[in-house]
Amino acid sequence: MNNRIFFAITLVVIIAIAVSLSGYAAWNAANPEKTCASCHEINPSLEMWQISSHRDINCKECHGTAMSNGFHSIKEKTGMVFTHIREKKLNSDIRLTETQVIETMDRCANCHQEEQKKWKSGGHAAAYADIFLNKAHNNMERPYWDCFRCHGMHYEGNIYDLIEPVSTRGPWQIIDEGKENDPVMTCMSCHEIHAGNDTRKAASSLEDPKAIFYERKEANANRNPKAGLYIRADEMYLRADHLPVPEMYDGERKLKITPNPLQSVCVQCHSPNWQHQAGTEDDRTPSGVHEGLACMACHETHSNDATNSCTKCHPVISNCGLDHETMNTSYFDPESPNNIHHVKCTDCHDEEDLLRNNN
Amino acid sequence: MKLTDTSRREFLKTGILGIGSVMMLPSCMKNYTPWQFFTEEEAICMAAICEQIIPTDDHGPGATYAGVIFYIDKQLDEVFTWDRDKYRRGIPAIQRCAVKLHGSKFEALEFSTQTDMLESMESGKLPAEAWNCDINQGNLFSTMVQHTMQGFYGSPRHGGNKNYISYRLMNLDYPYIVGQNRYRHLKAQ
Repeated sequence: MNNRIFFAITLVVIIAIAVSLSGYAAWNAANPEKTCASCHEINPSLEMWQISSHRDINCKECHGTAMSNGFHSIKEKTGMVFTHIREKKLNSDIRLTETQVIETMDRCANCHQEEQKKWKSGGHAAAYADIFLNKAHNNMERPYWDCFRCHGMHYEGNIYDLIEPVSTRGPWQIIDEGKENDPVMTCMSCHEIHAGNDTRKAASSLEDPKAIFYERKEANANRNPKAGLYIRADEMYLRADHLPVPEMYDGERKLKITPNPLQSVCVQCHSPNWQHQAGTEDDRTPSGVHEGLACMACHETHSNDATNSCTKCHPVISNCGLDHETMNTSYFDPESPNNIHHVKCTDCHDEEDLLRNNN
Repeated sequence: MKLTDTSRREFLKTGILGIGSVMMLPSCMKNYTPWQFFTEEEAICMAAICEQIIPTDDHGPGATYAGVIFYIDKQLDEVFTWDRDKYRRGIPAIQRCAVKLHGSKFEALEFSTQTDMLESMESGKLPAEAWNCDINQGNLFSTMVQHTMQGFYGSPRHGGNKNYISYRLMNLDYPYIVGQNRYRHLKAQ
């Protein structure tokens, strides 16, 4: 080949690559209104994002770019366009796949490192194998579709796609081995990332510390709850303060329930029996001396850690002379008959003595 | 998946898909409209009719808040294809009657005037010369009522009942709060 032709072709190729790369870089750096949302089906998602607390974060930071996951991403994104045209998919039909949810969740940790570490240290970081290959559970109750209501909310399939055999007799196995270590409760199970909310602002003045408190109090009162529930059946979110606050009972007595909306998210999975009796089934609604407390009063929201929870309310130098952490409750001893969620004064004290002392 | 894990066939397939997709992109870059079936004018009129059927009152928000119009729009586009013609020709007929009887479009009328108009429509008494189409007035009204009810009380996944508002108004425990029963087995053992 003639040298001049060879150099000309090389030059053209180099220029084409340079133009493509700079175009790609410019596309990724541009305002999403001009890029991602130029596809009309993305527009409603963009509108939600614009009023969310994540509005300063570019789409690609969470959703990646067409090449952030190599060939897989290119295939996925070109596939989206084809699916849209071939199957007439509309914005209301667009959902992240479970793989995308997990990939996006990993990117949450770019900013929320602390929350991710806490989540990983707690029970909510359980993987598919932990939940669906649990012999004790499966021997007792056949795995079924409703498990996905809380475990694997974004799973695309039914129980027969996930494990076999679907019965109380094992041994059980996850059909797609790649899923075994995937988390069943992701950030997006309890957080709607595009939900409308204000961003936190710096105090308007640092002159008066007291004024900062009241300013923040007012700002917090106007903020929406940070959590919401992903409702698998409807494939949509419901904000925590829009979730029902269940009436709960201790026997026939109606319990006082905290107005904290976050508890309404917890109770969706830590649910009582149909009579809404506190402490039944998976429910942990406090009754007894702790009646009315929110889960979050004792449990850290991401790790669920309740260590040191007693000292949050009961001072270390106890006013009444009792060390609450060493009392005979399930906080001190897992074998204690006095469950910390339901312990009553009369579990340890004679009722008549208590009444006499009160009088 | 890395490029090195990809077969030649897979690479070629995705490459062709990619080029094809890029070529199709300009067709997606049209002006955004939230409507799938309705025009902007039809949607405004229809939203006012829905709010008449389920108005905001002391009990709580009405059809507008619940996004009933989005339900009807989505369903007419995707499912209720047989009702499209009724809406397409019926809404302009309502507008013609509103202009003839009251001098302005339906959505601009006083709430009580809108109510009077819909009552006339329900009993087929809107002036025939203004109505000027073969859609039965009473039948169209009852279809609109039916669709509005569905949009307000149905599952939000179909486009209406925003934030499950009607469920909340009815104090419905939704999502249903009930735990699993395995502990009952344990207690029985």
